[in-house]
Amino acid sequence: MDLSVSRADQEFRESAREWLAANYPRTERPVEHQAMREFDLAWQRRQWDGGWAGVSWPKEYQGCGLTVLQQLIWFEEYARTGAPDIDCRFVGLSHAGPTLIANGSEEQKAFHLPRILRGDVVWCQGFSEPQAGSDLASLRATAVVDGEDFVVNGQKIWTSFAHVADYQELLVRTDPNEPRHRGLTWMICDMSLAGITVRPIKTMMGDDHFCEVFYDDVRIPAVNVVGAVNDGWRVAMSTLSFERGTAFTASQVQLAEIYDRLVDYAREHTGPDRRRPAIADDEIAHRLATMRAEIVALRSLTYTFAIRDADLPQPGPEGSMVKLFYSELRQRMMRLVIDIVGPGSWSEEYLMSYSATISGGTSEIQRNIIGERILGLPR
Amino acid sequence: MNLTVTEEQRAIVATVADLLDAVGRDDPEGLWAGAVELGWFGLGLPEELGGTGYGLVEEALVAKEVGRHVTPGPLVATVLATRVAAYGGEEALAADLMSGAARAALALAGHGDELTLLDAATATHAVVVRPELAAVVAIEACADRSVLPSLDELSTRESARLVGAPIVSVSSDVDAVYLRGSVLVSAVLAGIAQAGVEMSTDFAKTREQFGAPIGSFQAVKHTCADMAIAAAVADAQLVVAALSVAEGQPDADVQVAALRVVSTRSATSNARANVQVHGGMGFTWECPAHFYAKRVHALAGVLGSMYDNERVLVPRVPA
Repeated sequence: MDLSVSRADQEFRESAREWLAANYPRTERPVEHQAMREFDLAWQRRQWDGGWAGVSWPKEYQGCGLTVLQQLIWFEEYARTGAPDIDCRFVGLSHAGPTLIANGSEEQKAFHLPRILRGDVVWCQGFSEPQAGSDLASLRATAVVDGEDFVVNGQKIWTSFAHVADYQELLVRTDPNEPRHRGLTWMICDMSLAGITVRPIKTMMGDDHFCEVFYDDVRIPAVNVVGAVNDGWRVAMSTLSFERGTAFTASQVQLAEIYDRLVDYAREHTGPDRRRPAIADDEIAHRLATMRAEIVALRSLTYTFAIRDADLPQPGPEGSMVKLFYSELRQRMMRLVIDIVGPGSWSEEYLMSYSATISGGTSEIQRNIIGERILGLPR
Repeated sequence: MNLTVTEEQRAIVATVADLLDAVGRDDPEGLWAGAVELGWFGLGLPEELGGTGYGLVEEALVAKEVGRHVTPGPLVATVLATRVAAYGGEEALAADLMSGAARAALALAGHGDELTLLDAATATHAVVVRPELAAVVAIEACADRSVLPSLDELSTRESARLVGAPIVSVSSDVDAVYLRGSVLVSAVLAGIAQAGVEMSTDFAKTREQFGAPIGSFQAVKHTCADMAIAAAVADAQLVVAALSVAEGQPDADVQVAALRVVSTRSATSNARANVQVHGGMGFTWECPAHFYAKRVHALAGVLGSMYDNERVLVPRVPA
């Protein structure tokens, strides 16, 4: 065991830092979604051109073929630079891409993976439905075979960036006679197909990147099935295991960055006694110290699991621990920010933190997974 | 970077766990003899100083088992005293501590010459560990000893006065005894957190109410899940902090302070929840859950208070 950084990793970190500092976009990121999409994809394209896209993706699919540790280093340097949030690139890079690498056909991988890395396309997720949230296996959207196609009908919800997406990871019921999770299939849905309607939903932040998607006799070619027909539950669980593993590393570093800014603020601004700096207040200092300890420990936890899982085809259920600890820590962090700074700046990050314990599987579902799959408690 | 516990380390832990399972906490002398036989007190000491040549991580993994079994006796203190003796050039004393001929209690320094001695009933020496300096004194140098009330029946506390000069001392430049000690105390806490998960999970799988194992109910299942996370966080930080001290990393003090904070929180919450999950049984003497809950408090402030550790994490501006 050691903490020592190999020469290769250190050089990787230094050149990543150098490249990011020289190349991250300085211009203001557009708020309007179509323009934001173009901005984000141009930035992804720039990473591709620089040879930094898909650090740990296999070389045969145009990734860099480097280690999981180097992927973590890249995420850390990325966040440290202040490069734009992954946002509408998240599903492609952290979900769909890894899922295709693990489960896709050669044709699917050869077609889609380079497009994701090159910044040609945006992906979105189509798992949740109005009646199937935490109880995902009860989903009702159907896909019926008709010739070479599946004909899809139904509705998906909570689909971030559906209105600017090119492809969707779509989980549908292909065998209504099989119980729950046995009759599901994971397929690639082209969002430009006839019969798809996208309707934005306004979030508590006041924006509308969040969507409902309706499917009315949408014809998806059978070759778009990922894994086997009726094996979609397993494929979907692998998708979620990627999401719960290292996908949040950049966000974790962001948390540390916000923390450092908060400590600076608490040194420079007057605290609750309206006399001394906020940081001189015992309660605030105590909360800041606890927060720093937890941020330090979160990094240790992420690295421990990532290094342990590096040789596995997909992350284990321990990812649920990282996801749960990270998301609840993020909420405590943003609550601490609001308590110290007041309800002005950082409002967006504060409100966004409410979603951290809901998206990607609620905290309650993560606790079920930890209880049942890690501790072996009965269902 | 490699943070995965090796096969060799697993084997060390298994040997220690076997001893602690076999001897039991009501036979402290048997435990001590077993610890000597397994070479605990020289485990992390270089071979040229008479030790086994493992590192702080291995010491921490052993200390974690001490916490997981809530083992009595000044085990961590004697590990630290052995280091002070060895690095201070008192080879005979180091050899006596490793052979079981000598035994050191931890002496917490208070105002002036005031000391609080922990687990000193059978000690021949005491080790005083301050951030900048660690010293071993003969137990006779601790005068006016008086037993203090102890919440934890498995550990004793005494007040005393330091009247004699140290036999040997080493500064933190020579060996980071204080940071190592804080890591080992944290390791005991991590073991307590781990024991909570294991005991509660085992109980929740077999105890039935409403016709089902209570672990099938989310109120209990989610409590166990939270305990598992608390233990995993303490474990991960334990390894990183131990390595950062062993390797002399520049942020070692921050890593250790973070470890102490998270391991204290994990041990405290898990020990409490463990009593709760066991219900009425958890409140009995027969169920060992109470020993863990008490040990958490016995370790509070040992080799660094929460206040000290928080000051490392957030240096304050002058008021």
